[in-house]
Amino acid sequence: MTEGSRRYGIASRKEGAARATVLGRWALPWLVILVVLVVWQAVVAIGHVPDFVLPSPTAVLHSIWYNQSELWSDTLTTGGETLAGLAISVAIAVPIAVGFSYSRLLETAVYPLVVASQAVPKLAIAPLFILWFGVGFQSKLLIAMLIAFFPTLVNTVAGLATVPPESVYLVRSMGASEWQIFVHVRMPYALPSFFAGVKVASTLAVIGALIGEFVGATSGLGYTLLEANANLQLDLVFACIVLLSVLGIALFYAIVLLERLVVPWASQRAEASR
Amino acid sequence: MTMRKGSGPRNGGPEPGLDGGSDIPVSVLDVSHSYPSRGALAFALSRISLDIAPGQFVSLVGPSGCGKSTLLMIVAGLRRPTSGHVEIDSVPVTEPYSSLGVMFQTDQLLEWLTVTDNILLQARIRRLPEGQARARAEVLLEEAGLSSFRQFFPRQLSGGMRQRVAICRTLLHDPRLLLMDEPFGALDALTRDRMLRFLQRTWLRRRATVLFVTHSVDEAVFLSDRVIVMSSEAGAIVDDVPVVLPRPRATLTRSQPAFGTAVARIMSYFENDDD
Repeated sequence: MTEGSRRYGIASRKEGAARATVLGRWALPWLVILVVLVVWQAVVAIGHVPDFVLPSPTAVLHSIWYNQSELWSDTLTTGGETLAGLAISVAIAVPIAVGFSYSRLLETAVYPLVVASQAVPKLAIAPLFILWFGVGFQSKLLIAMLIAFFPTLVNTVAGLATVPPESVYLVRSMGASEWQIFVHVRMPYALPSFFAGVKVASTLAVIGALIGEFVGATSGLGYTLLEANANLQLDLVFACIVLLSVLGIALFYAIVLLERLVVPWASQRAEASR
Repeated sequence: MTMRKGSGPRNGGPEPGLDGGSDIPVSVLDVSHSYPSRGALAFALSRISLDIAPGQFVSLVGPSGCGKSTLLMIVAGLRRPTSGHVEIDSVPVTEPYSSLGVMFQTDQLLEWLTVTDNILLQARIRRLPEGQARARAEVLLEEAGLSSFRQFFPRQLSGGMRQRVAICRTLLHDPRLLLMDEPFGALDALTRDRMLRFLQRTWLRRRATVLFVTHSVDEAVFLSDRVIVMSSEAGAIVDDVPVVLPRPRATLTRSQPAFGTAVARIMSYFENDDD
């Protein structure tokens, strides 16, 4: 074997490894899920486990299919509460974070209070919100917003703090206005961290909406889940859990997608260091 | 506003942006800078006065912490002196001068912009005409040997290439005053030497007034018409060394007696620092 072909051999093996990694990253998690489902199905079938203790995966699927119209409208309700809560939390957290980055006084005065407010368990306030804002959309939105607010705020504050002072000096030497400095330097530097916060917030917003529905509601996946649980319809309970998970995952990956579009440089950097 | 090349006569006072025009004098007048440190005032600069002639290349050398970067920031209008003031073209500095190019030790390229867009940042912030700025960027990229990298992102470039992009960005609007704070401090010796020649070449084409901060005596002598030596204790100027060597200077210039004499004279001030 010549030096050249040996080198080619190494190169193609490396390529093979890369292909295997890509395949593994996408296929392996699905394979694991499939194995778990098969084992679950087998245990229920072989052990004759009754449906009100543990429904089989096929029973859950059947329940989703059978209740599809009701579950679809529940998913829309919970999804709407989650999305609205998340959107409003971001709309409030970002200006506050920007305000902190410009005013040390504001940060010292308000930030400790915001952090302290996180010690209050949201679950404990939920009944109050139902009392004040009713069993409808509003109370759920507010609970989701309250829970999702903090990670976005903290991460945006942290992101704005990573802006190198020299970059600010540089554009200032070009005669930049504060607004230009913000648009060209501060904001792009903070965006990756902001998105990290919103990703965490998105999963928390789902939980917020769910808490609200548990405490008092007339529709939504949380409401249906509690009802089904009371009636020992465990296949429907599992159906709700599946849909809640799908909702959370879909929201999470929608944000990941948005992040790739808005801050491609950050995800490329993460890709390169992998 | 039109882009003029070379040093034509200036009419109607300084205009911002892509301007040619004659070069400008810089005067540092009795500037002090102090900051509170453990209850007392520490002086980074004490009563510095310095005149830089139009089109002169002046270096500031001194040990770290001698206040040379602070002085540069004050001339840039990015920091206010505690007392005294700076005049650029006989006008007291209150904000960054309109025809200013600044460079730092780190290139400060924005990772989300391509090479071209990083250079054009100078034009976008200054709201200069896009077409002219693009044409000028092309010329600079060509000179810097980076034409084929114009669509690359900073992370795809080596340290030397990144710093060349930073130089192109600094020169885009053809500034009449260049302020550089150890721009090659983070580069390896060979890359640094190439950068020195590149900077000299671009500077010789149109001589802006330059204030160049460095801790490398070799770099200072190689580039400058004058080297200002600062002492660490008082934040004061201890010597003003003229460098009389023909340009363009090359690697062989370093073997000339005048080069060695200037280096030795400057180094003599730092001899006692290590005992």
